Formats: sequence, structure tokens, C-alpha cells
Amino acid sequence: MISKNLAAASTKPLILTILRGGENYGYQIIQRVKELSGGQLEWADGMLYPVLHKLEKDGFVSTSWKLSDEGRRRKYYQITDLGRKELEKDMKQWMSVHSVMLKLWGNNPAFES
Amino acid sequence: MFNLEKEINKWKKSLRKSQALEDGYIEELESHLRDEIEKEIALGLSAEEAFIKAKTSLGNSEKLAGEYYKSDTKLISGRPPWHEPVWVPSLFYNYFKIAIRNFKRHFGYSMINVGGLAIGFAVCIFIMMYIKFELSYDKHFDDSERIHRVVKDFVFESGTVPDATTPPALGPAILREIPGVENAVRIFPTWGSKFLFKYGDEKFYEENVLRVDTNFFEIFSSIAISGNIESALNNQNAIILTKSSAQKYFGNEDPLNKIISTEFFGNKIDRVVTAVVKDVPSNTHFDYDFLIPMPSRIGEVWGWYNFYTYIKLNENISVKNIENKIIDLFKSNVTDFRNIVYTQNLEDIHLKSHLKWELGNNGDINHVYVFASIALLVIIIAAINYINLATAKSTNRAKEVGIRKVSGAFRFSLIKQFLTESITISLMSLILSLAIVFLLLPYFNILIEKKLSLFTDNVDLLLAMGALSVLIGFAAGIYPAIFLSSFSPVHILKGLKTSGNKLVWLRKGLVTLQFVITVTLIFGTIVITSQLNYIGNFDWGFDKEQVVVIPNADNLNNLDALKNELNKSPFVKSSGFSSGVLGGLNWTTTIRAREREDEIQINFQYVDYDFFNTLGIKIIEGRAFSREFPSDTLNSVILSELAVKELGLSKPWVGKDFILSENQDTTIYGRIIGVAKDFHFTSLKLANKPFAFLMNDDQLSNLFVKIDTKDYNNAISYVGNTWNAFLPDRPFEYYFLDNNLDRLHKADLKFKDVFSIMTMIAIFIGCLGLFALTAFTVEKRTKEIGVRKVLGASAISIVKLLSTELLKTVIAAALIALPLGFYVMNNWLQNFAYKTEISINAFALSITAAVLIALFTISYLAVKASLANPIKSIKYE
Repeated sequence: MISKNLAAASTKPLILTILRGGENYGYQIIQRVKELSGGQLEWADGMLYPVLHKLEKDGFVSTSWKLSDEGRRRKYYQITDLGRKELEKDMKQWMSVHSVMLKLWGNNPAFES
Repeated sequence: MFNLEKEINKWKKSLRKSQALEDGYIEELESHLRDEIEKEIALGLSAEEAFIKAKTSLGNSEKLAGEYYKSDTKLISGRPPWHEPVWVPSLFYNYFKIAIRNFKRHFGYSMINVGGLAIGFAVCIFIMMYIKFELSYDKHFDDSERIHRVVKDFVFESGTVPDATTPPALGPAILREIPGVENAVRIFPTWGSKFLFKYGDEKFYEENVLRVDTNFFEIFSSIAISGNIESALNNQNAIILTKSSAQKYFGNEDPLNKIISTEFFGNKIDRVVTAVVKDVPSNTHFDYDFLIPMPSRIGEVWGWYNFYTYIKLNENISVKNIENKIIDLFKSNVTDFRNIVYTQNLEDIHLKSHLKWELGNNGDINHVYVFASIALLVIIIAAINYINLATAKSTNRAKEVGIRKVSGAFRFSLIKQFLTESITISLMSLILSLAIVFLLLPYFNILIEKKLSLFTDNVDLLLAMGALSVLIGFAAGIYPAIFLSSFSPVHILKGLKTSGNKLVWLRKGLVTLQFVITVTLIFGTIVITSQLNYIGNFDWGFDKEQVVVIPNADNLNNLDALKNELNKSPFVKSSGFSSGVLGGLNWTTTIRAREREDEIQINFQYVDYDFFNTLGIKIIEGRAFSREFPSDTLNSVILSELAVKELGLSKPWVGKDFILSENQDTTIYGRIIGVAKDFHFTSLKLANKPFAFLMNDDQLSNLFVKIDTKDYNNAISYVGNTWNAFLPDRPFEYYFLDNNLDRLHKADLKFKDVFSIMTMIAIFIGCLGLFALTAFTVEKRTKEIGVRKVLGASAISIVKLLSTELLKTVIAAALIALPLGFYVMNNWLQNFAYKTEISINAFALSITAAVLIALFTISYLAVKASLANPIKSIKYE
């Protein structure tokens, strides 16, 4: 399992990366995250929505309501230009942390899954 | 049957409770929920299972709302207002808030609660400080539990006299012969005589000088400021000073190795200061300003009871065994030894020892008990105020209870709420009481003549008070809490009155209890005051007013010249000398009648020709000493009436003789030349004792000057000037005889002062509660009073209506309190050999005082209610 703090820190780049591949709605985003992390990353599902709400407020995503095939209203999220820039910044930071860790640990990462 | 749509609606409703969740957010969450449910149903779950699983995976709605709030708010903590701060258990925050709101809404009543309780706590803190101090006596000495004092009861045919003194041979003998005793030290005080100390121009009479064995500090551990106290007493001419006495003689100079010239009974010695020690802590049962080594001339004498013997036992030695060995020691050294020897633990001396010739003024364990009870009673009165007001106001809180219950509060959480409230009030009172204690402590210290400090010595006590106040809050709050939480919401919200009958009875009972306590205290104050008035007006049998005593008049050559010079003044009526002071120290001896074997112990003084005239002691048979009878100086005796009776002599007494002293070789007879009317010379707690007067110019040491003027200042300065003219080497020191006698009952006077102040405080707190309770009932009965007035009731009948009930309560309380008070106070009076009767007036006065206090308390409210305009009263509510 990934610790709570790390999971919280990674939420933003994770969501933005998923949205970079195209607009999406909350339920699908969560399914994608579960799928990608193989269950390593788990929040209470509801906790995603306040984060999305925060991203919208910060201007990283925009939203629009669309009618689904089942006739249900869904809120779709799209990444904005500001969001893309933010994502690039995040990626650089994550990668630099990653490369430092890699140098430190060499090719023998001390973890077992 | 599970209805999915209905459940989803219910779930949505629960989300709407939160102010952070707006409709849009809820719709988005709902769509998520539905997606999840569909997925789970597709995987084969039932609708119900799918709903529960989806709901759980979405997470706790309150937390969710909190997260939304956090993303919206600018607050750093991000704590939504409906969440309690993390450090407060759930709902307590709300309880606390409601408590504060209630406090503000009923500010008057609340202040009475808090104020009364705060005064009660303050009394409690003061008393606990006093008790703690009293219990701390002598515990500051290392190994105090292993240190004991050896004392004995003198046994005479007529009875026993408990006495703290022992002979000088005892200490060394114990140390030499009894195994298990680690150390023994003797203390030899000056017995009222004074050293004359000189250093440079500084010249003082000093009485507080102890002569002690060189190992004094091995038993009474003390802190040296300079010098080496272990060896400081080895030099026979050494002297040890306390810090204050060093300051007095040497100011800022270094006292070490300075020489103080001393003179004692004509014996002049230059003493060298070998050490300075810290002042004797005030919680020590004796006190000294100077220590000097025990004079080497004092041998191993077994019959001279003028020394105090303290022993320190080895660890794990039973003091009982040692006691037996000490008795054996006495028996092997004294023929026909009959006295009862025992020991007292050092820690017990201050409170439990009341022997003759104590080294200092001891306290009294009974005072500790009495004050502890008063503290408890005051707290009870204050707590009753809280209970009464809380239950009386309960109807005001009923609606709140109803709403809380309807919204799902359990009874237990309501009890928790009301307890939080009462504990909050109690803690607020504690804080206020600390402020009161802080402000009044200097006055309290004056009252009890101690130097107590709240924050340096009594931190543990403050913690105890914190715990106590929580406990009081709990005790006072538990009944109202259980009662209030028992309301049925349906009844309350329908507006039905809950039956309050049981409560009215409880309140009446508690108010009665308060009055029982106050009436008992009032009665106690009256009896104590009348006893002390009785003592104040007591006829001692001699003139104690306007008599100046000059104590340093030993070894004078020109007695008559001095007296003549004094008597010349119009201020002075007469003057005379004696060896002792009535009410102070006198010598004692044993005498017996010719034909009888039993000895009686008798106090005696040597006096001069003018003594009887100066003190106004009346002679009922025979005559006083007279210059016309030269043989008066030879074994002529004036006895008190009691003395001739105890000797068993029959009238006429004059001319009879008795055995004044005897040993193997000689018997000296005393010849009675006069019998004095009985007079008193000790505390009135003790029965009167026989007394004898003899003549011997060499032993005279006190000059008595009877002055005859209201102009004390001039009289004293005349006496002083005359004294200084005759005796330029001796500082003029004096005191008044009546002040000296007052000292005998000083502890009782203090007791009276503290007791009556505590009583007044208790009454005040009780009145506060009564006032608030009456205000409340009058408020409740506003309409009733209005209607009565409209129907023709007069203002007076309204006042009567409001006060009869109270009068009944007071009278009922008095009927319980007075027998109780009589029992307790009668016991207290048994401490005195001379006591006033508890008169019927004391009972009447107590009841009257209680009734007047009660009526006065409610008078304002009753009159105000009776004069109110009935139209307004009826419109009320």
C-alpha cells in the first residue's frame, strides 16, 4: 500500500495525466486509477470529488455537464492549458525525485511487492 | 422489501445536512453511486448489497463534506465549524458552548453560583493551607520520624501533672546505656531569665537563647550560612547566631569570629561567634535566636527537671522498647521513682502535646478538625446553592432537552452535557477563588500570624483543589443532570408541565440543611464569643490593669531608693518587686502539713513589702508582709486560701506552720502570717492552684509599677527615665501585666476570630443562594401575585405569603441545629475550668439572628414583588 501522504501528493498529477488523454467523468477517472495502480493506490472513492473541485477552482480543469446514454447527467472534466503547464511542472519534480532515488538505490530497489 | 430509489433518496438527504455540499456536488456523487451500483449488480450482487457496497466505497459523508469545505475555505486549519477541534471529545465542544451561552443568558444567577462557590473554594484553600502548615511541623528535620522527645507525668498523691521537662542526667545516660539510640541531645532554655548581650554600642536583653549539647545539629539538622556547625559548639565560649540575630548585631559585617559580651545572673563571658545558621523555620515547635554550649558545670543530676531531652533512634527500633529501658534507667538512678515516663514523636509535638512547660506555643489538633469541618460545611452550602438553582431553572431547560432528545440525543449524552456545564461552572469558580486567595492572603496571614504562600509551598494543594473542584462540579451537577435528562420529549414539546413535586421537596430539604449548618455556626459563634467575653471580664483576684512590669530587675542593690524615686511621681501609685509574674513564670515546690504524709505542689514567689499593695491582692486573714515585723523575712509565708485548704488546715490559719522543705538532716517549717483571697495565675482552662509568698530580697527579679493615670506615654517615660538614671547599664524593657495575661488565651481568641469570620462567610454564601432561589420563585409566581392583587390582596399580605414558608424552614432548621450546637459547644466548653453557662439567650439569639438574616435576604424581593403593578404582572409571559 502507498502511504496516505504520498497518495495525497500524487493525486493531482495522476488526475491531470488521465485527463490529458481526453475528457472524462469522476467514476471513470477512479476506475482508471484503480486499474493503473493495480489496487496499490486506493482512496475512499468519494474523496476524489473534493480534489476535482479544488482543481477546477484553481483553473487546472474545466467542466461541463453532459447527458449519458442512460439518461443520467454526468459532469465531465477537461484539462486546461494552465493544467497542462502545472502537469509539466509536477512531472519534472516527480522525475527529479525519481532520478535521485534511482541513483541512491542503484538497480537494487529494496522493496518487495 | 428493499427499495433502491428510496434508499438513494435517504442517502442524498443525509448529504444535504452538510452546509458544504451543494446540490451540484451531490448530483455528481449520486451519479457516481449509481454507476457503482450498476456495475456491482452486473457482477451479480443484489440491489441492497450493491447499494451498501457503493455507499461504503464512497466514504463517510461527513468526512467528504469536510474535504469539500477544505477546498472552499481560506482557513488554514480547514476545520469546518460543525467539527469539534481534534483535542475535544465529540460533542463536548458543543456542550461547552451551550454552557457559556447559558451562563451569559442567566448572568445574575450564574454569578451567584460562581461567586458563592468561589468564596467557598477560597475558604477551603485558606483552611487547607493552614492545615497543611500545621501538619508540616518539624518534618523539615532529617529523619524526623526517628526523633522523639522524652517527657513524663509527675505523680503526686493529689494527681498527675504532665510535664515536658527532664533532668540533665537523662540524655547522656540514655546515650551511654541504651543500645538502639543513635543520639541524644539536651536543650536548656533560660526559663524566662534574660541574657544581656553587648557588641559595640548594640546592647540587648535576649531571652531566646538555648543552651544545647554539642551534637544539637546531629538531631536538629539546620542549614549553616557560615562557619562549620558540626564543630561550632565545641568551644565552651562559642555562640551561634541565626541569620536575623546576626543582622541585628552585625548588620552587613561578617559576624564570624566576632566577640559578643554576655552577662547572665552576674556571670560575664565573652563569646565568639562560631557559626551563623538559617532562621529556625516557623513550622518548628521551638524557636531560638542564639545557641550556646551547655555549661560544663551541669553534672549528672537526676532531680533537676529543667531540661528537654530529645533522642534519635536507629532505624527499625521500636520506641516502646526504648521507653521501657528509659523507665528502668530512671528507676536505677532515682529511689522511689513514681513518675510516668513516655516519649513523643517529634512530628506529633506541635499538634498533640499540651504538657506543662512546652518549649513553644503549640497548636491544637482539635482546631485542625474544627476548621476542616468548617471548610467542608462551607463547600456543602455552596454546592447546595448550585443544585437548588439548577433544579429550579430546570423547566427553562426542558425545551432544550426535548429538542436534543428528538434529534437523537441519548440520555447518557444529556447527562454528560449537564455535568460538563456544572464542572465548567466549578472550574470557573476555582479560577475566581484563586484570585480571591491571592488578594486576601496577606490579611489571612495577619489573622493566623503565619507566613503562608500560595505558589511556593502549596502547588500540590492547588492540584488537589483542581481535582476537588471537578469533584464538586460532578457532585453538584449529577442530580440536576439525571433529573433534567429524564424528561420525556413528548411531554415537554406538547407543553405539558413535568411534575416538580419531588423537586420542591428536595429544594426545601437542601435549604433546610443550609439553615441547619448556618444556625449551628451562629450558635457556635455566640457561645465562643460569650466564653471569651467571660474570660475577658474574669475577676483574676488582683489588679491587672495599669500595671507595668519591668522584667530585668534581678540583683539590684538599691531597691528601696528606686521604689521611692518612682513613687514620687504623681503618675505612680505604688511599686513593688517579686521573683515571678502572675500569669507568667513562677517557681514551684512541694510542701506538706505537719501531720500528713501527702505533699502538695505549690507555686510560689519571693516578694517585697510593697508587692501586695501594688497588685491589690486581698488578705482575708492575718496580714501582708510588713517592715514592722523584722521576722517576716524568715520563713514567714502568706498562703492562698486554696493552699491552706489543700494542706487540710483549719481556721484560724494564722500562726500555724507546715513543712516548707525537708531532707535527711533538717526540716524547715513555714509559718503562716496571712492568708490571701484566692486569685488566678494560669490559663482559665486549668483549675486554680495553690500559691505561696515568701520574702527574699536576693531572688527579686521583676519590678511592678502600678500607675494611676490615663496618660500612659508620660507615665512610661517617667518610669523609663528613672530606671535609666538608676541603672544606666540595663536597657529599659517593660510590658503591661494585663497584656501578659491576655497571652494565656491568645490561641482561643484567634480561634474565635477565625471561627466567626468563617461563620460570616458561610452565612453570606447561604444568603446568596437563598436570594437567587427566592428571586426565581418570585419570578415564577409573578402572575399569581398579580391576580391576588387584583382580587384585593394587600402588599403586606403578599410579603407575608412570600415569607411564611421561609420562616417555617428556618424554625425547623433551628430545631435540628440547636440541640446539635448545644452538644458540640458544651463539649468545647469542657476545655475550660472556668466557663460561662450556655444561657437560654444564646438559643434565642441564634434563632432570631437566623430569622432576621433570612427575612433580610428576601425582603427586597418580597417587597418589590408586593408593590409591582398587577397589570404588568398579569401581562407577564
